[in-house]
Amino acid sequence: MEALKENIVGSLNRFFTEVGNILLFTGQVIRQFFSAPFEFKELIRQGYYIGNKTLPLIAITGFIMGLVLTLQSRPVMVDFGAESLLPGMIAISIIREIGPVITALLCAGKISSGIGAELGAMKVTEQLDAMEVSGAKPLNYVVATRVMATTILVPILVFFADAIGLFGSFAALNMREDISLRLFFSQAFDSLSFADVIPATIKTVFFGFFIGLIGSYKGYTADRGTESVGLSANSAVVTASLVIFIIDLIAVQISELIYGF
Amino acid sequence: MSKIKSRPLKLGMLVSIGLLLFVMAVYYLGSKQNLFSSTFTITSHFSDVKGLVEGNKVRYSGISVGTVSNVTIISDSTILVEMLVNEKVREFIRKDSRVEIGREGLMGSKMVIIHPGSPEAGSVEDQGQLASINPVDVQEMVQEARKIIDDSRMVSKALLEMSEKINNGDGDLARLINDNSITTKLSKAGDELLAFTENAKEISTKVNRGEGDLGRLVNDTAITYELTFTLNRLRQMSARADSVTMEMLLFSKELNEGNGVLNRLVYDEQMAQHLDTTVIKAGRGIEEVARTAETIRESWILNLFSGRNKKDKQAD
Repeated sequence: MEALKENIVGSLNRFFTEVGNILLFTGQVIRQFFSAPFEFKELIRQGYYIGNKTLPLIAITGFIMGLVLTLQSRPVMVDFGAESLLPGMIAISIIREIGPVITALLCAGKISSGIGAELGAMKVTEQLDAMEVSGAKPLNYVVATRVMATTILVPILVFFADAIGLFGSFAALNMREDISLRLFFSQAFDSLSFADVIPATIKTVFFGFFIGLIGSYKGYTADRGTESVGLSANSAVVTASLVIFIIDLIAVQISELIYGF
Repeated sequence: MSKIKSRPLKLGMLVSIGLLLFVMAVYYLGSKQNLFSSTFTITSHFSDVKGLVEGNKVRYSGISVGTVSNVTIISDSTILVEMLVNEKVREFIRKDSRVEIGREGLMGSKMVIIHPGSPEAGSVEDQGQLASINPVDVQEMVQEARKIIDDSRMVSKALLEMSEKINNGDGDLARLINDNSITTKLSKAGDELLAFTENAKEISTKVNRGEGDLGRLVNDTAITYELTFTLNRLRQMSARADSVTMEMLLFSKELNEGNGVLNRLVYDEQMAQHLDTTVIKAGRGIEEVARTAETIRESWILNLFSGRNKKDKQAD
């Protein structure tokens, strides 16, 4: 019993220490956003790898997401005689929840793990230490650019995922019935309001920020062993995914408070 | 090296297209809620808004023309609903238009429906107020439906009783359905009607062939000519008769109103008396003349010179 108590206290201690370290790291990274020098070229390079290289994955996933969601929902809507409400329902599902969360999880899997592994490898090979010794600020050059890139690019990727997801839904509907693209988008946007779009967009900014931040933190704080590279990559994915759901939960609560739904 | 140079271009395209998608979505949503077009406000009072909230659509004749901008409770039985409506449709919304809270389909969200008014009332003004129609409650609909079901049950019961009576043979309708003799009579009547039709057909055939008086009358053109001639003669005679009648009319008028002999003869009593007296006197005069002539004939002087007595004696 005493050992269990010690175990729980130790776990809580480690958890809160980790949270504290992440918060401190967050503060340092945010400070770097506003401190010179601003590494624009590195930001472009990271943006290219995070945005352009992830787009095909996001596009395919988004299309399949809209297609499958429509095919799965249609029989139920047909049973209720509410087939005409299907575009609106799919649009709300994709834009408000599924698009941002699925995109963020994919980015967590691809980008956060990539950043964690890359920075972990740099840490193991002492490149980060070398940068510090040579006067370059690794937090500014390596971390801040990646975090800023994910913060900007993840919402952009979500826009693509939403749009392609709606096209997937349109394709699924056209497999079963004839509906024009104009009518589909008219019905889809009839059900939407700013209360659906704005909170969803704001939370994707937080998703992007934490995907980059957690990946960077896990890589930046990796141990010296080579196995730390894999561990930091794995830990980055798990933690980022968990944080995405926590942010989503908080976003829903705040949206409910503001918009009343 | 060129690949490195193309990175900013590709990234720029990605970000631009992504932002464009977002802006398009925002603009489309904004245009749906009339954020980018000029609007005016209409208000209406309801006793119950049935779940209407800000952002619900406003429709005029089935077209989405605006959104609900505010729903406020102003007293314990009155709710003020404010609507932002597109300025372009203001000319079609009349002051006597009526506002109702409806639903998009059976399961859709609530919306405000503006029913058209009369052109004489004129267009509604900004901040104008429209009369409301209380929304139909689903519970009321269920109660109405229950009444209809009860009525239908009574009707079906009455129909059941009627069908039982028909099956049992009660009443004229039942006899019509169950009694075979009526059918037989109807069949016989049908046969007779058929025979009559056959006869009529035969007659018409004969008439067409020109057989019989009627056939000749119908087919022979000489008879038609004669009839036409006779009719013309009759017409002429009629015209003459009219002329004679007119003459007679004039004559009778002259007789009645004129001063001629005939008029006096008919209407003057004094003249009639004179005429009577004259006739009497003439009669007497004739008698006197006859008597005088007899006397002369019997006179011996004449007989002497005429030898008449000799002839009379010889004749005897």
